[in-house]
Amino acid sequence: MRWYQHRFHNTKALQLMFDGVPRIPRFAHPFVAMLTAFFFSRLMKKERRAVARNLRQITGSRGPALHWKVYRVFYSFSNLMVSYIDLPQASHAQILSMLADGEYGAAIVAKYLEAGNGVIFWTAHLGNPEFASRLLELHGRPVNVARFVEDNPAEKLLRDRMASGRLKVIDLRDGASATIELLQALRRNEIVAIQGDRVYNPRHSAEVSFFSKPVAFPLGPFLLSQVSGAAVLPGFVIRQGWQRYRMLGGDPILPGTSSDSIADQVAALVRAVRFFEAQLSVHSDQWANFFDFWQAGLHD
Amino acid sequence: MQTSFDILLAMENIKQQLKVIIIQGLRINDRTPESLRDDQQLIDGDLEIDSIDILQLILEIERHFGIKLVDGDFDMAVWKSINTLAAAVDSKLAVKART
Repeated sequence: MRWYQHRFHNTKALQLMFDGVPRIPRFAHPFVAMLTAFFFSRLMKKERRAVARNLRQITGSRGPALHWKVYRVFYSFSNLMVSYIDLPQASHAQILSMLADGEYGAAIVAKYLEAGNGVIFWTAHLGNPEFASRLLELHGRPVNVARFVEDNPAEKLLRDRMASGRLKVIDLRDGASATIELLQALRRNEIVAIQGDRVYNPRHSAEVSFFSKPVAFPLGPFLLSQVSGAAVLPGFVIRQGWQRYRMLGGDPILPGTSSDSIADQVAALVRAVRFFEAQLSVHSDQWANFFDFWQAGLHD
Repeated sequence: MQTSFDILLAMENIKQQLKVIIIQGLRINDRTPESLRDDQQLIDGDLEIDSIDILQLILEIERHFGIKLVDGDFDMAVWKSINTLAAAVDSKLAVKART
């Protein structure tokens, strides 16, 4: 299933960026991003309108305030794309130096890893999820990023760029073997990272009120939590300046053990979505969703 | 000492329990446990079991039998049919009984 794809999501455009940006002095990157964001926000009308509809739903803004927020989404996305240049090779010291307050949830992750069931990091297309996955490496356990690697060379290029000895991308399109691989990773007390704001399999999702409108979210991460015993840690890495970030972590969600496992999964999902909603209401200009979220997230 | 007949009976019992787990755990409404064959294909078969269903089944099976079905050396061929799944459950039960 392909959610959305813009016309610049191709290897040529990405290669142009990977080759071009390093030639520009670093101090000029934010200014170039401002211009790029303006250029693409004008060029991509369909996406601009979708972002505006999403932000109107979240913030209620209209007029110039809404236009400014829409522009900020494109600017944040420029930050995210440029981060693909340095982030894959960045040392742990460099990663830490990009954190505004040095806080990355070390104590809480260590506490739940001590139980030996691994940890599930539940995030979304908010802020910089790639930076989040690199941050997770700092906990000293292998990180398994679960994602649908769509049949697009650009998608594969980005995946291969981020993969490393410590960071493994598990392609959910591999079906049962991928989900079992995730379970085995948790049983080895490793970390699994999942973006929970897109449904690829509507049969295994639940509709939750999200900014006063129902939206389907995947139940898979919470089922994985039940099977493995791993706690789900909701969290997002928010941009706080050019290539400067802050980790925002929610309360850990422990797996339910009642006889109705699906009701337990839905209850856990609602807690994660409430945290997501709270963060999104503050950082809506960092939500990289260029399609109409409420339209796409509803079941037929 | 367990005779071949006892072993066969135990295996048959596991298969019956698995069929109930599959129907109830996956909330399949148009089939009954009795309608499932022992060689019923689990993945890519007419039950339309997908990767998340497999996780749900692992949860239900592990809770029901008190075993850890999936561990480090798990073989995906276990999901071929109810026969192969029952054999895997049986071997895990045997390990559990020894410890």
